[in-house]
Amino acid sequence: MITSTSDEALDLLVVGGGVTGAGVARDAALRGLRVCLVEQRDFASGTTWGSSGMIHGGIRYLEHDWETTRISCLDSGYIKRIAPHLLFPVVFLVPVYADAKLGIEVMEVGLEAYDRFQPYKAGRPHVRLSADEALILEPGLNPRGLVGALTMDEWGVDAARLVVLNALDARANGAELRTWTEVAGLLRDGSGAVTGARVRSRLTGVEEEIRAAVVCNAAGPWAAEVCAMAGVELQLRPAKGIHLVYDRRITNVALSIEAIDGRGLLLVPHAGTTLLGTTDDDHYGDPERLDVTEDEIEYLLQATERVLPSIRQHRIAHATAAVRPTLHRWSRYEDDLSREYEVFDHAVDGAQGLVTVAGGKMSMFRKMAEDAVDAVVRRLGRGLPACTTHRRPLPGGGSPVDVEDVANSMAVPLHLAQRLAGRHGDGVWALLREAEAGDRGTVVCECEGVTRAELRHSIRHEHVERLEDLYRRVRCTGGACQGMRCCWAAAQLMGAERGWSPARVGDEVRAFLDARWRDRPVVLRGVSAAQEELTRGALTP
Amino acid sequence: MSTAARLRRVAALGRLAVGYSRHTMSRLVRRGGWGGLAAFDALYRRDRISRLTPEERAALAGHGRCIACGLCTFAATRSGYLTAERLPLQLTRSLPEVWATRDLALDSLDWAAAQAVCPTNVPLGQIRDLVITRLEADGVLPPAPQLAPAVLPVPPARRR
Repeated sequence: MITSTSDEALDLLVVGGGVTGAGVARDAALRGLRVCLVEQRDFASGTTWGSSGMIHGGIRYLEHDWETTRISCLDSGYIKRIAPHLLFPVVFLVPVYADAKLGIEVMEVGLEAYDRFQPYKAGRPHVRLSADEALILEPGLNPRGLVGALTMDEWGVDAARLVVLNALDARANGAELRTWTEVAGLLRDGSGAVTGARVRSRLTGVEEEIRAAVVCNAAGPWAAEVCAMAGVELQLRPAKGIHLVYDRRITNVALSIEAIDGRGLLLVPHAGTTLLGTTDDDHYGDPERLDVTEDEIEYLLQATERVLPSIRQHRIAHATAAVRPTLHRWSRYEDDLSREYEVFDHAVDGAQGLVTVAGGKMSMFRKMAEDAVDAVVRRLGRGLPACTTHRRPLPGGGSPVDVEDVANSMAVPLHLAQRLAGRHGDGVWALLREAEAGDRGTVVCECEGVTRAELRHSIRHEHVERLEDLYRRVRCTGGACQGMRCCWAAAQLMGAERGWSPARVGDEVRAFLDARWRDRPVVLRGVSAAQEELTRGALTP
Repeated sequence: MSTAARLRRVAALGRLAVGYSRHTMSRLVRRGGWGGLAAFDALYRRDRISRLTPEERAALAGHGRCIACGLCTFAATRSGYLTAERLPLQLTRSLPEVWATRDLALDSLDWAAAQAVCPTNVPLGQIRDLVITRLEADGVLPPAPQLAPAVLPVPPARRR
């Protein structure tokens, strides 16, 4: 591990700990570069946090460029290969109504074309259903005007965990990780070349300089801000998107929905939740200060109830909002902006040593990282090994896990073994062996089935700095109550592991609840409000 | 849009047009019913992505009414890892994962007592029935494989 970044120049400083930045750090570390990654908050707390959690093959590109679909599917396949434990199938049901923009025949042509690419990512061919069959599969569908339906599949992923595993693998290969550390400015030499960054810890306020031959700007919607520190103008067209997160899977299949303005929305069963989204609106404000509005919620619910009339009866646990760092294009409707990405070497702008990777989508993160590191290597002018991130497993992805064997031999309930294996893959064995017997089955987060053993493991090994980080590591506090019930227990355990004072534990809980509260009032209704009141009553002395 | 991008778009639309012609011809000569649901079940049975019954659909909104007050757990005690509260709160949040409750003694709790004290009327008995039904249908089907292909499959050959 690099202990003093300020003394000796690194090869690469990565700014941004989202999926792209973590992917860049991993790729570069695997190629033998000396790397440090800084992230102003926790991993995956920006754009990745608000994603739909999908590794998809890019069916929409079939109208524009089949090669993009092929590359996208191929990369989805690579991600499936390196992290099989993190991915789960998401099966889409596309109900087709009489008034749909495209008829069922045209839509099926698209899916027939997509079937040719599905083998790249271990996907399965589409199925066509009659209206009656669609209603048997999902009886909650609105039957009026239903012509038929089509099904197809993609992969769902725990996006935050995907980022964390990339970062941890980077660390295992020598990279240094610094979360809750913001870039206060870029260092430049007399010629204007970027030679590192001045960074400030958001936890301690300490500032220091990190010198690096190349700075890779993977800051997502903050990328323009980082470029401006080097006097470079980077134009993005940031787009805000929200998702409603339901407390459980409210359907077994994902639904494709058309909104009132013709935009496509998705209702996606995702792990133990359901995501409904997304909106897509230009956003020129601070990407860190995002509010979910009643209007946005109503837009999503109005569209969804045309297809699934019972949607308003289900319980929304919280909402997410994030900004996509879409590349700038003039005169295009937000939703038409492609999810293309680009790697910029700012030597042409007079800022040698600064490389920016912007745009793109989560499914393409590995390829984006590969291209960005290729640009870094070119800038370094050194002969380095080629990228291996498409074949080297992420932590836990090395070998398949027999969940029943885990449950039997480690004496944990099958349900917990299943959850653990889904998050930790073959690392589940080490996690449970390391744990004290009493911790293995002792649950802290009831909704997500997170045990003391898993929390201790995560706190010790997964670069956890704050209480809220635990959500992005192991989904602790991710259920219907959004941590109201378990945050104290988790904070106390973290405090015990870290030697925090009782006051620090209290501060962490307060900060956690305040942060969580920002996303919740707008969705609190019915039983959610009742539970909030009950739990707050119990928590208040 | 660049010329190259325009050409790619023209090529993409051309391929889709050819696909449409082929599709139309095949629809004209296709015989028999739709038969899609059987194909769907065959594709996704291992993943346990299955159809919902109308009764399950009607009850599903009620599953989310649990406010974690814990009264049901007091009323129905517990059996190992199983408590009444955990059924809606944790164990049935994802129906494809319900199979992983098969090591729990679901009949050992007094579900009627649990249901009787629930202040938000979570249909605990119904949820227990749903789980039993799904476990029976599931039999001893092993967990869905995590395996990814060691070598990515070769894409289908281009049509001549």
